[in-house]
This record gives sequence, structure tokens and C-alpha cells, in this order.
Amino acid sequence: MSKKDQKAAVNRRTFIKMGSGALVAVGSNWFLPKIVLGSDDEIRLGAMAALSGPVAPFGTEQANGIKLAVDLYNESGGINGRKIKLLQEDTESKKDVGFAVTRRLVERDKVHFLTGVCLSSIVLAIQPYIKEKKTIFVNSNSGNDILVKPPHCNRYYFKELISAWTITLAIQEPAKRIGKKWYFLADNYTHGKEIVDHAKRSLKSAVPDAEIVGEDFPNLGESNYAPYLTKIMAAQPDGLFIGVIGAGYVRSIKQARQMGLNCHIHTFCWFHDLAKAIGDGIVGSSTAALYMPDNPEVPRARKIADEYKKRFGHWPGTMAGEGFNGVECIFEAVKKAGTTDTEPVIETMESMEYTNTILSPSFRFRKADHQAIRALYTAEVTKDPTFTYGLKILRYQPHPTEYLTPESETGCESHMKP
Amino acid sequence: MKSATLPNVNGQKVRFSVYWWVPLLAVLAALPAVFSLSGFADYLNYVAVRIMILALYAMSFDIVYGYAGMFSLGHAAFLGGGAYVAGILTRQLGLDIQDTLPVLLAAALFGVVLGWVMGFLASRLASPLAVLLVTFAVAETLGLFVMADPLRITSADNGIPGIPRETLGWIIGIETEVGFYYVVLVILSLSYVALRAITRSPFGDALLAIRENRLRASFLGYRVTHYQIAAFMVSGLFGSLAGALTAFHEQSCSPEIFNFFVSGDAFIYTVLGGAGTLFGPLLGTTIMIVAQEVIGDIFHNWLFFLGLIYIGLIMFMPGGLYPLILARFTHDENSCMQDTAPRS
Repeated sequence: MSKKDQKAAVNRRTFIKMGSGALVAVGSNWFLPKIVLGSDDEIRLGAMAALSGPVAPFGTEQANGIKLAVDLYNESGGINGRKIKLLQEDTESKKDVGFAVTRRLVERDKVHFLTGVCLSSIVLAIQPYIKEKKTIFVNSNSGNDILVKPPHCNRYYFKELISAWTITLAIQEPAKRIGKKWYFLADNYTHGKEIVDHAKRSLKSAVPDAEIVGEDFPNLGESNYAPYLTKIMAAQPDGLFIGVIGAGYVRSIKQARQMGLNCHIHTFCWFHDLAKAIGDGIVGSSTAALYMPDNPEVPRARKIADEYKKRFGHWPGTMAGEGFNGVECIFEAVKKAGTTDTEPVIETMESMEYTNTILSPSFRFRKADHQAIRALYTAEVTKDPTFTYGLKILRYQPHPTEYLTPESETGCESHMKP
Repeated sequence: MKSATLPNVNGQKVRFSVYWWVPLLAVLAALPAVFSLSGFADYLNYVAVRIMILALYAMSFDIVYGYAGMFSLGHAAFLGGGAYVAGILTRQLGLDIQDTLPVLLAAALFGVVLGWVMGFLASRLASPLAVLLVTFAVAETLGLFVMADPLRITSADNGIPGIPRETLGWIIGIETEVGFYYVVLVILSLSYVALRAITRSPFGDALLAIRENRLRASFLGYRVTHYQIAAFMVSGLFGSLAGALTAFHEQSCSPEIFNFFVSGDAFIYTVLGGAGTLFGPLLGTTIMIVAQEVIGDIFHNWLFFLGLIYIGLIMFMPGGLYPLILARFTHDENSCMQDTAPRS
């Protein structure tokens, strides 16, 4: 090696100097907790959403909804004169990352409250931790009912999404109208099987002589539904219940219409952005709507939807509405309690009736297990000049509690103590 | 001065002082005390333990990839399998297992058996692409089995939460983050020593010979398939041990641990640090997790930077960081390390 080359080469001292400098420069921001970098007067809200990975489209919407809610609070002067600082983390749709970022938010950033998360597996990993750390977590996107059952239910966990059982009540209205023969198609995993069980129960309770002509559970994210659709067409049902999520939601309905399946389709939940990917094949189907941007029962929802469109360039979907509402659940209670202290806020959330939320004219959490009791809309999908595909309400149930375990029998009593 | 030889990815030999481990271990042992000066010591201990466990996972991958020269895209099967052994034994079977030691041993045993299965399949295939596909299929099959949950023991997509972590060997308390940190540090150190001994043994030399030229090794009389199966079994043992430690660390496990991205992580950590070096995966894992923490804290889309780092790595440092650093350091005449690698 020439002298010139030796000079140019990084020797050990230079390496250590450069490395230390870079580490200090980059790491100082990280090593210091956000509490030091921000103002003590701020209320810190930690939000965990899947911004990458398989459920990123849902997580990104959820994160947008959370951000909009925080921005609107701050633009109107904050909560009791205090601004909200939003600390958003990406769960990468992975349980281990979701758990790690939650710990970071609680231990390093000292957040007052937590919200977000789509996947139940992440929530299940977080639940014992937030109980240990006594940090309130409003989970704004997991429907799995196991989360509010022992041993998982706890005082610091609030499930803002409607019960998976309740959501299947929406099959009753189309069942009464279109016929008795039904076929069920759902993803082959816990939630898919659960909602089919519940939907069958809802169907039988509305139409006792209903006939279940078949059921199938393709793998999650299945790319080809043709074999299942052939079976369904051979069974000649009057209605097809679809309990498929994500990309499978689009593929199953699109392929069903392409193959000429003419029966009525009922989807277990409404996803506006996915409906656009399906196209006109979705028109005429029925669904359970949890959030509608132009909900006639909640005129405020449209104003928020317009604001969302202005800031993010597209209309909000269900996940955005749920994310937005999760933030409001926390901060309306903080406003009313007049403090961010955990216990008074929990007591307020347990006792308060939220009114005029963007999801539902009224909304509350059950004290027994912190399951949300809120409106369910059964709707028909229509073409809409503004939203491309809109919803016409067929049935409005303000507080459906059918199939929910009675509050006195949840078994969560010992878990809900401080 | 005592020294040891270390094969790097190009088959070159680099020598360095074993005494370097003493200050390194001292620093690692002192880390919890340093962390306690911050206001979030538990979190920093948690991150450090995460690095050590994933480093063990990456080191186990290095045995198959760096030493035996087989590219597996199903290494997550070992990590996930170990995690689920821990979850099922402690939570799902109604057994009253409160200690982690029998669970860790069971996970290691599971890894050996799974390693035999994967090795048996992979060693019969000459094409690297076929090996990649078969190993990928094994991990996917296990992942689907866990999701379908036919035996009602894996809790399907919900995973298994609430895995207890109380003692190791019924004596050592590992409930606290610091206690668990030291236990994982000891396990990582012992695993490193064991793996180093294995790779420096005639068995390790045979693996290198097979990696360099499978056909020539067989002409020399080596039973190539047996060596490859054994490499997978060793790899499975340590990979599943890391999996069980992951389950105890997070006190839960869930099906996405079988995802091929998790297998890809092992590859990235190993290649970044330097494949075929054992220390390289440790270095690569540390860099990646710290980068995830630091860059991810500043930019939400840190994976973009990961992509850039990876492209830069492949283009400018195909051998990985550790061999590069060793080569740099050994140019310094004052260094106690000496580079005996041939210079180009």
C-alpha cells in the first residue's frame, strides 16, 4: 500500500473518532426521552399503527384518523389549555415490533395514553404490559372478542371496535328480504371462523327456517377463489356471506361477479377503499357499516370527512373513522375529568356517555369489560357521485347488545380492579 | 499473545487476539449499570436483550449459510418453532412448568429434530434455488399449521400471550429485565464459544470444504449429505434456543414469527456483519436493531433506509463489515491484531 493510500485509509483512531461522532450526533436525539425534547405541559399520546407490512393500508388510514383528531384538538386550543403531542410508531404489522414500540412509548417517551393497533395478536401481547404499567390504551381497530374476556380484559384496556358478534346482526335485514338459502365464505383463521359462527346464529334468530347450504374457509389472502365459487354456484344459494378481509375481500367479490354469481352478497364489514378496487360488482350488496362519512344520524361526520379529504387527499375509510374516534374517546374523558391522571380518566370513561361521535350518535364503554356499545348500521351499497360508492341505511340499531355476555357474567371483575 | 484464526467469507484467514473478548464482555456486563443512569433503563435492557437473542438467531443461520454454504429461506421455522415450544409447554398443555430451563432444553431438542428434517430435505438437492424453496416451504408449512391449529394448542392467529418468565434452573430469578439480560448474555457467550469450537473443529473444516466445492469434498471422501444435515441440526439447536428466549423475552408468541421476512432478517444481519465469521452476525444484528431504533425514531419509513443500506452493502462490502474492519485494523502496526490474509 502506498503512503498516499495509507493516508486515505481509515485507521483505527479515525474510525473510532468518526464512529463516536456519528453515534453522538444521531443517537442524542434518540437517547433522550421525548419528554426532555418536548414541553412538560403537553399531553403525550402514543399511537401504534401498522404503517408497513401486510396490514399497512388499514394501519395508514388508522394513523391518518388519529393524526386528524389530534390536529383538530390542537387547532382548537388543545385540552384544558394543554396541547397534545402525538408520538406515532410503526408496528410493521409484527407482534414483536408492536410490543417493542409500545414499550418505547411508555418507558422512554412517558406517554400519558396509548391508542391504535389493528392486529389482535399485537393487542394480546400488549395487554399484560399496559396493565403492569397502568397506562390507558384505547384499541381502535381490533374486533376480536377474546380481548375483552378473561384473562385478557383489564382495567387499562378499552376496546373501541364493535363486538365481532354484534357486527353479524347485520345479516338479519337482507336475510328477511332475499331468501332462506345461505352460503358462508370466510378466512381460515380465528376471526373468520368466529364471525361465521355468529352470523349463522344471527341468521337463524331472524329467519328460523333459514338453510345453510355450505361454508368454506379459504386461506387468509387467497389469490384464487374460483374453486370455492364453483361450489357456491352449484349450491345455488339466495345469499352469500363474505367474511374475508384485506386483499381477499376484493378478490373474492370481484371473482364472484366475474364468474357470474348472481346471488345477493352480504359482506361482514364495509371498507370504502377496498370497494373502489372491486368496482360496480359491489353495488347492491349489503354490509355492516361501522363508520359512514355522510352518516345522516351524525351530521358532524361529513364535516370531519371533508377535513380529512382536504388534508390527506382522499375520503376516510372505516379505519380512519375508528382511529379518529379512539382519540376522541380519550380526550373527551380527559376534558370532563379535568386531569390526565389515569384513575380519574378511567372512571370518567367508564361512566360517560359520548354523544355525537363520528361513528354513532351515542357511544359508551361497558364498565364490566370496557367493550364499546355503539350503533350498528345495516346498509346497502349504492353508486354515489361524491364517494363513488355510498351506503343507504337499511336498519339502524342505536345500541345493539344481542349476544354480548351480560355485564354481570363477563368474569372480568377481578381483572378490572386497579 | 494468544491468538485464534478466523475464516472470513472469502476463505481467507485472519488472526486476532482472544484478549479482545475480555473488555467486550466487561462492557456488556456493565451495560445495565450504564442504562440505569437513564430514565428508561428497563426499555434499554429490553432492546439489548432483543439484540442478543436475534444475534444468536443470526449466528445459527451463519452455520448453514456462512459455513455450510446453503442458503435457507426458512430459518424462521427454528425461531418460530422454539417460541411455540415455549408457549405451548408453559401455557397450552396444562403442565405446571414454572421454570424456563426445561423449556429451553425442549426447544433446543425441537430445533435439532427440525434441523434434521430440513437438512434431510435440503441436502438431497444440488440446486441452491431448490434448497431455498424447500426450506421456505418448511417454514410456511409450520406457519400454516400454527394458523390452522388442528390440535387446538397454538391459538391460531391470536398467538399465545402471557408466557411466564420467573426462574432459570429454579434458582436464578429472571423476572426483571436486568436478571434476564445477564442470563441471555451468558447463554449468548456460551453459544458463541460452542459454535466457535464447532466451526474450528475438523467438522467445521469439512463444512468449509463442502461450501467451497461440494463435488471435490465428496471425492475426498466426505459424506456431504451427512455433514449438511448435521449443520442444519446444529443451526436448529441454536435457532430454536433463540426462539424460546424470544418467547420468554416478549412473554408471548404469534404466527408471524414464521414469516419469510423473519428468515430474511437472519440473512441481512449475517451478510451485513460478515457471513462465515460468527462475530459478523452479532455485529450485523447490533447495527440493524440500533439503526431501527435510531433511524426509526427520526423517520417513520426507516425501512427505506434499510433498503439503501442493503444496496450499499451488496455493492461496496459484499464480504460484510466485520472482515472489512478486521482488515482495516490490522493495517495499524500498533494494533495487537495481525492480518495474515493474502493481499491483492
